[in-house]
Amino acid sequence: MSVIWNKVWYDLRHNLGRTLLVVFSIAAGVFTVGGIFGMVNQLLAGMDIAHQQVAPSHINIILRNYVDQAVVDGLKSVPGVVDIDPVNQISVRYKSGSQDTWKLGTLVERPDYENQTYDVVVLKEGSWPENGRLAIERLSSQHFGFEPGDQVTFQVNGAERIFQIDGKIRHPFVQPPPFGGQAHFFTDATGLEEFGIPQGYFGQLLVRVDDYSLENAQAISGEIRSRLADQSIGVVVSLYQDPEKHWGRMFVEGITLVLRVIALVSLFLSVVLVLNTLTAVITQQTDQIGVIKAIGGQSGTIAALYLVLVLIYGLLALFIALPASAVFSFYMSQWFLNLFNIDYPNFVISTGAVVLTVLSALVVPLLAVLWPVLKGASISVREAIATYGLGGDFGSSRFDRWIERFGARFLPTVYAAALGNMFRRKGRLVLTLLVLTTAGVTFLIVMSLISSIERTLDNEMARTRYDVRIGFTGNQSIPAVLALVDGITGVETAEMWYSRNATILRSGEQLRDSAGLGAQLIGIPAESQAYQPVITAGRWLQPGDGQEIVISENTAEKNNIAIGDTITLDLGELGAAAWQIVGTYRAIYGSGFLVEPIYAPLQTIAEVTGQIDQGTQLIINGKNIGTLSQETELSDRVKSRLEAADIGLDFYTTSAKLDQRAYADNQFSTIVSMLMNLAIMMGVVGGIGLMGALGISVVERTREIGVLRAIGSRTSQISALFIMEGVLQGMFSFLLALPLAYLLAQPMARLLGQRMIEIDLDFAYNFPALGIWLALALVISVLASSLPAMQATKISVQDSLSYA
Amino acid sequence: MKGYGTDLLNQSGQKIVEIRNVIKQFRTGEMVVSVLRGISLDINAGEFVAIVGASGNGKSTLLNMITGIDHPSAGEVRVRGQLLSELSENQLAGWRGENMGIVFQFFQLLPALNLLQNVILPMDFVKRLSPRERRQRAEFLLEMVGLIDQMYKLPSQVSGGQQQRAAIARALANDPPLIVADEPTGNLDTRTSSDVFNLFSHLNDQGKTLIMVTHNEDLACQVPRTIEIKNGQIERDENCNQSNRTQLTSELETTAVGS
Repeated sequence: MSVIWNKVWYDLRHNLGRTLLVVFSIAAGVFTVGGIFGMVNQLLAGMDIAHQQVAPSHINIILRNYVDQAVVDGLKSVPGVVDIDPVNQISVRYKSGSQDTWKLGTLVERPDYENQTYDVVVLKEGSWPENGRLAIERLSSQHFGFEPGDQVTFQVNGAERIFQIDGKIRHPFVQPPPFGGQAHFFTDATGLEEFGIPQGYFGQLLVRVDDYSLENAQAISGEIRSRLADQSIGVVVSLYQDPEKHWGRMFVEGITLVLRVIALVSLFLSVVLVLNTLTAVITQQTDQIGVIKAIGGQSGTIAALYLVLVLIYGLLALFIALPASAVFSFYMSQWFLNLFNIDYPNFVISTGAVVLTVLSALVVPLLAVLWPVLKGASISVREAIATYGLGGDFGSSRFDRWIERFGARFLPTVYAAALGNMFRRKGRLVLTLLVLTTAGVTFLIVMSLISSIERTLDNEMARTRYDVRIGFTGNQSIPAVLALVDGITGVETAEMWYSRNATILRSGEQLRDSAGLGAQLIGIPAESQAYQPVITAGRWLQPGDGQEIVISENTAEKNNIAIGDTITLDLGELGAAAWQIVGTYRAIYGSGFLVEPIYAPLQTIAEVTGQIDQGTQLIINGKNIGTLSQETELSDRVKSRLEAADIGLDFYTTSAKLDQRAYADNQFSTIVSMLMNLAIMMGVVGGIGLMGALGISVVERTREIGVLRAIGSRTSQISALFIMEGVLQGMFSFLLALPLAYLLAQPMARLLGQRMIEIDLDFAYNFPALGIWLALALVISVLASSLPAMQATKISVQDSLSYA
Repeated sequence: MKGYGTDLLNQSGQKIVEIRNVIKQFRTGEMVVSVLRGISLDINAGEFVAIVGASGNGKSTLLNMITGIDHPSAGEVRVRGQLLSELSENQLAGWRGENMGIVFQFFQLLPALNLLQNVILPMDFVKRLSPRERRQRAEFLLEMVGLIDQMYKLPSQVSGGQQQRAAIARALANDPPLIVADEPTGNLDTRTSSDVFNLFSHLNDQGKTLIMVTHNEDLACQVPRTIEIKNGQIERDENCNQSNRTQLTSELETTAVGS
């Protein structure tokens, strides 16, 4: 092997700082790619596998009435039904020993925990609930602090009853408490009987069909509904579930799309750093290239030297990044899956991510540096070694002269020199600015995404012009309720709404052909100003409307329902009627656990159903309400008055507005913190890029620095030169990032909103973030240029003049 | 160890460098500068030629024409019968490795390689000898220039004079018939300059053709043939007296001992 290969080893160890900088730059990008892509693979696969393992039902039918086993067995003969597992799930009010306030929870009952069929729950600790005792859901235990052995107080038929928790159970279909989910408890038939449901009766049917498709499941569900209707048994809603894909997939896919984009941007930035550095190395070693050619070496040999150098950088980076990304992706996947109540104990490596990691570390940098290496290797001997003086070719173009005149006219000497120095290596300047600007653009886009999410939630809150909503267990007389609340301290206005579970049937579809769409019909008074959602097509309800309704944009899109279409609302025993769609609205809340409301005039509903002056929800606007505690106090005063009048309250549909906002904030908080961390990482990568470029600049200008010292320049002045150059580059990148971020932020916000929650976010460009990024860019620039500046000040006249 | 070009002495008198009406112009900004204005000359095998002249008159440019590092704007340059303009950059690199050795003013040893490796490097490119033979020849050359004890040192660990001697050894690695030196003593003290010059004389005595650019008139006078370039043209092309050469060598040595 030729002795020339010793040069590669020398270049690696002689400038250890540069080697480490390049290696860690590549490693950062490779780590991000491997970590995030590995996490995505494991996360999605883990979710789906866990989902399939619980034998998920295809249809979850929530009944309006309780049915016995005979009814269930009768339904098993419906063509296409494989089996039906009857279960119960009800809303409850509970409090623990240390609490004073009641909270809303869910109580689940399975007839035989040892022999479950579908949506299998798993015992994790202690024992199954029996003889009226309870178990707690695992996530609920973690979040709300309940453990086996604890006692919980429930409100049962107006009285308080204490139950003991004996076990901990994992339920595959609970909304994670960090995202607003309630506490889930489990009981047996004996325990459920305490809550008024006789043993052997069920309110929910878990159905599996022989050949799942949404259409087939809907058809079978329609047949089941029809048979139930023949027995005067109503269906509240039918929920459909893909047996192969986890219910939380859509949400995760939205986040992971953004993460993957940022991972690729990070890889791009690190590759640009490598390109910048290697270009500078080749520039610095141009005379060596010339000498090698002068004594017989050819371009191929020279190119191979630098490509092998980059390959070694890549191998070293891979050595660091591969295990780190594998560990990161496993533990992040585990953390995410645990959020969704999925166990993920065994360390797994994603093969696809490993391949991507290897390619990112070895192939991508090589491809990136190919052009400058080939260009450098093809330089002629004359160009390489026939240099004169201090390398002064700045000023040869009109642009250079304009820069020089600008600096001389408007800037002090040091700043003018720094400005000129910045433009001496235009190629390197472009690459460095590319890195810094990309970092700035990414940061500003992320901040605008966050502000867009905030604005969307704010707008939604602004359209909810009431403070408290109280639900009733049954219909209540509107005049009677309004009279009760009139005069309660803090109540400014009050109105009643009517809500009823309904099935939407599209024109032409008979009940037997399709289960239709589950929905919640809400009747609002014509003159109400309490709620005005964002209308995405058509219009909102107006005084004078008849059988007109407004549905969610999501429902309309998924089911090809357009403005002007006529649909049928089936209200069970209250009959069915045709309604015309006059508008669609944007629904923010609702993650698959809730059905989306459809709105109609209260008066028209009363006329159509015969429910005159009946309401099921009380809507209250308070005086001077600004905090959640004020809302809660108002709510408690009103509830006390109602309970005193023996009016049954449904706490599942009772809420305070600010509570809802907190719930929404919770849902987005994980995404927001993830995006923030990535934005900060972009800034750090940008700073590393600047430091690398300035470091190379110091080495290249060693002779020049010596000459400056020889003619009287002090340490502080030399240091100021390089720091000012760094700051100028930071400021340039800031100015470039501003318009780019403004152009890109809105499309990115739209993409994120659509992928995650299927809505267009209300865009808000985060102007305060400009000030934050300006400050960050300044800090990064100063910090990044300090080390090279310090290196420059250590160069003596003697060292520099002997440098060739 | 014998060099493997021993037929050089038999080629003495044959033209090794032929330059015909060479013109070289450079463009700097908006100006065109003519550095060489129609130079023609022949150099025979075995000659020792000094190219002299004031700074900026075209000496190094002429040398670059001969080495193929640069190309004339007009005219022809032939070295050992090869018209250099017919070769691509890559072909020129390979051709240089086999046919000439170059000694630079600033030594230009590769800082990443020790002295032994720097001398072996040209032989690696040409691949005439086996790796073992390359090492043996490199050691022989370093001993010849008095650097055998420093062969494992990096260029940064030896003096300027030692670096230049190592560079000469490198130039001799493939035993080329032609050695070209651009201001080889420009960065050296008097004593070391004398050592280097003596080395060149010794090589010339062995039959090598040497072309040396220098601004040192005294040194130039020791060289049998001196070509003076002035304003891009040959001002003077004459042989110096051999006795003058001997006298001046003694004066240089006396001066060096006394300093």
